[in-house]
Amino acid sequence: MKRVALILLLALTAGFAGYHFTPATRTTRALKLIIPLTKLVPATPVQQLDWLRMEFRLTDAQFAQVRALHAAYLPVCAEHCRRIMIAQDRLAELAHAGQKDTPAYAAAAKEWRDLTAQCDEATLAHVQAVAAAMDPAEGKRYLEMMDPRIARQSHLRPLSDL
Amino acid sequence: MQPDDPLSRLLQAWRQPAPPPAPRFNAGVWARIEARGAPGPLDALLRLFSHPAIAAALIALCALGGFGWGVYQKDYLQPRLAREQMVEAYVRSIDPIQMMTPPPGP
Repeated sequence: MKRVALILLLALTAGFAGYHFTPATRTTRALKLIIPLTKLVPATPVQQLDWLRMEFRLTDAQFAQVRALHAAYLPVCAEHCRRIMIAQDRLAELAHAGQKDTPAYAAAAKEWRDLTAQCDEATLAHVQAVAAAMDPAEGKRYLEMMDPRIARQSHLRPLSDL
Repeated sequence: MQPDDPLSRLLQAWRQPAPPPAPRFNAGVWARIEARGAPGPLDALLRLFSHPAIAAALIALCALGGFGWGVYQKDYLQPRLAREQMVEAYVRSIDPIQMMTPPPGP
């Protein structure tokens, strides 16, 4: 019995050692440097761009272009966000006041839909501009990666087909 | 005590009578044999590990398994999860609609 216990212990130790001494590949080490491995620490914009550079094998020129596009787009995105939030608050206020059947509510709802559509268009245009800055194959892969995540009802075809 | 002593002769001739057999003696023996039954998995394990080659093979297999799990986890699972997280964060940063929804909990 002692012999079996000893052998099992040795086997377990060997398993742990095998796991512990597995070398991580260069890609994994690079990812660990860039990417926070917990959702409690959100990725910063710099980390996101570093990831884009590594993931889509951007050259220095491509990276500079993508970085410029990203920097130019962020204020636009923030402004859309702000305006949509105001429209949503307005809709909520009217609904709370029992004015769902009034022209004011219909106008606020239309404004919200228009803003959302503008936001979708701007997001899609940005994504396509970023893809265009990459090598064609990488750009296609980027669009395929973004497609299921930002696809809403505003476009019926996959981004990569546009 | 003299050899011709009648008591001595009597003692030499005396044999202790065999005790009467216990009731259902045979049935009891067979019942005990059946209760023991076939060797269990532990017995099989003990017999298996009595071969040094098999014990060494088990240890080597565990080391290999640990190594394989390490490769899978460190070179496939972790990067995949990290990439998913990063894509999610990136999309959230460029999409105002998603920016307004709270991120999923950890």
